[in-house]
Amino acid sequence: MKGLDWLASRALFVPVAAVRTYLLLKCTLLILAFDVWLTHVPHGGRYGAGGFNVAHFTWLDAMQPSVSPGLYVGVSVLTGLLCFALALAPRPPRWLLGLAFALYTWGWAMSMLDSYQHHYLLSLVLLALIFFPRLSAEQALLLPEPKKSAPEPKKGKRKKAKPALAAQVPALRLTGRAPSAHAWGYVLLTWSIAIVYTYAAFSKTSADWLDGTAMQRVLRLPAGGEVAPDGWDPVGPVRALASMVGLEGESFWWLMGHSVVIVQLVCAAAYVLAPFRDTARSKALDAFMWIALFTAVSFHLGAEHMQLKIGWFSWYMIAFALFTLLPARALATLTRAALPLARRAAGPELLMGRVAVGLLLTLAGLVAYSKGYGGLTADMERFAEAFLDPAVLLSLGVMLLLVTPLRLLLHAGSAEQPERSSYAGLPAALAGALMLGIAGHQIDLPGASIACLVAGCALGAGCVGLLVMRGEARAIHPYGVGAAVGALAFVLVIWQSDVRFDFWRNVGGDHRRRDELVTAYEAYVKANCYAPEGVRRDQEDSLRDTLRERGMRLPDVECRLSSK
Amino acid sequence: MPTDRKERAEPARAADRTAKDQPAQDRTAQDRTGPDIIDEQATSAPVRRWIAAFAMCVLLAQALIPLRYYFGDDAYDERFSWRMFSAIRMQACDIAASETTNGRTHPVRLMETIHAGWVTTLRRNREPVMEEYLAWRCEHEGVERARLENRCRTPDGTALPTIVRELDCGSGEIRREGGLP
Repeated sequence: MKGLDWLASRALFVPVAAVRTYLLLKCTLLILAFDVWLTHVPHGGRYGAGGFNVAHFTWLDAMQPSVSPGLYVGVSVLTGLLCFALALAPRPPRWLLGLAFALYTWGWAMSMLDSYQHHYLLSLVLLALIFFPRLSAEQALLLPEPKKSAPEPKKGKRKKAKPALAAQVPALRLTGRAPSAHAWGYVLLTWSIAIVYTYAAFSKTSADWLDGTAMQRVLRLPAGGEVAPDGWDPVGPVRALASMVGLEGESFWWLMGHSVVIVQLVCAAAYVLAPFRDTARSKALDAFMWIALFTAVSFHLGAEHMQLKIGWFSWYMIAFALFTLLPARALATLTRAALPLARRAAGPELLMGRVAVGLLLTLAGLVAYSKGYGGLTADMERFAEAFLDPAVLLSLGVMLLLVTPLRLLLHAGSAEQPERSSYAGLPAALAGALMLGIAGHQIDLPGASIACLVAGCALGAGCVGLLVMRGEARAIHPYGVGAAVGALAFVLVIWQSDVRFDFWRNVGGDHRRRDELVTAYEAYVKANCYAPEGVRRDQEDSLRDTLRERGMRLPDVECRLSSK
Repeated sequence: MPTDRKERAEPARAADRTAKDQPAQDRTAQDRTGPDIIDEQATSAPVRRWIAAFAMCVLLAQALIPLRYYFGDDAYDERFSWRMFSAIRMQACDIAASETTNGRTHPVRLMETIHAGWVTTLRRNREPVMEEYLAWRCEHEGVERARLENRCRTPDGTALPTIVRELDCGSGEIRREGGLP
């Protein structure tokens, strides 16, 4: 008992800057939504192919329905939509976060085809997020206003003068203090990440990692780790730095091997100490947190630079490092600058700044999207492609531009506006269901329409449930808005990315190998409908010829939203 | 679930509590994040104990699960053990499948039988997948015996003993050679 009390008072219930929990919750959910749509869905065609599947757990194999591309894509699309809506909702209930955890976990656990360890890590993150404080942006970023005692009413003056608007809404102070929260879910999250780093460091204490040979293999370098004079050196900058102090050849690789272990141990220690970042008065801890932040960010940026093909893992870890290791004041200031807050008036310069940065990023993204980074030197081009993805620039720009109207929309008619009609949430829910219906119909992927239908029905059920239980449906408003915007975002990213092309060409390849030529032909026709410019699969033509030669009827194939 | 009213009242109470109860040094530490602490999950001591017990269980499970790899008997199953880019994963393997039907053994073209993703998983010697594959083949008509053979080389090119899994469809008996220590 005493041990548990000690753990609770000294660690789990230590006050943490509320902005950390807010950013971790919202950003993880938002990134996850796009992650599942863009990186999970393209692989959906392999699930249940040929009637063979093995789940990660035997009990799951016994419980789950027959795995198919439709089931996998459906679960992925639904997970993304739910995460998106939860990211937008002001204070989502824990059971919905639990549902997101369950759906995401089922997504990877349904088949051993998905063996990415970071998917398992994200399940642990989602589990911790369930227990995060349920805070709105205003609660996380603004200190509660001191309660003023009501002035004595003067005799004979019954009519109260209406206060001026400026007096009602205080000005936003960007650099002011931010509230703290008791957030044991946050401690659970940081310590979970610490465990991951510790084991990752331990696994790299094997001889081949310590002497650098394993790293040479990971980087696909020849034995000895030397690169041809005209070849690309993935560790070029580090090698150049090391050679300045005389570390070359074997000693350089020895250093690289050992540094991976040290880097991961530093990160682990930082995540263990992270919950105490906001309360401990220690300059040493402050300094260590800065060192750990630099270490973690450079380590994961390095992994991206080395093109290790580990999905979005590096970006999640960079986000976690920033949100847990940066000083709370810096995080709060940046978040207040980016996010419009109710009950605080932002100055015109802040609004202008938000719009200007949004426009700049959008324009940069558009230029990079249409022109690419072709005019740069090879190294610069590689750097730009790794770190300045046009889609990311564009998304950040659009988000900054839309954040103000979107938050106004989310607040209008929400449960926090009791003067609104009881049915205020219904139009948003209807709009959400409508958008989901359109998205499901337009995105030509198996399971997507069912997923959108399920999401639409869930919105409807939410409305009915709220009306029956509370007699009003205002609380559904943010979820309706979230569903509508989420459906729009889903259609846009799928339409403008290679997701459908990759999905259908993978399906086509698999069926062709198994001599299921009609299905393979259908899939290749669809793949070519959604192919990026200049990339076309010849298999469509060869399969058409083969089917004609065999006297088989060519199926009619319908494509939707095919032109980019 | 705490009500909104309770949540609004709680920060002030929590702030008062911390200001009164904590020693001077901690109080100054508190000032760095502001005196207003949101105790949204308003918690009495017994509830905190339950939360601490739950958190301990979750963390303990996370700390113990990877040990199953280090103390277990399957060197190839690196799931949930945070062994990214390990030497095991870097092994280059060549898998071959065969079946016996009507007393005759013939090779099976894996790429034409199951998805390429499963062939990669079989190459990685995932024991549950190998066993499930053999059992699945035995469900096909006429198959009397199903066999998988995986020849692996370490990253430095050293050949490892061939890993064989063979299932007798009649008796359900599985023969294992190599792979497991």
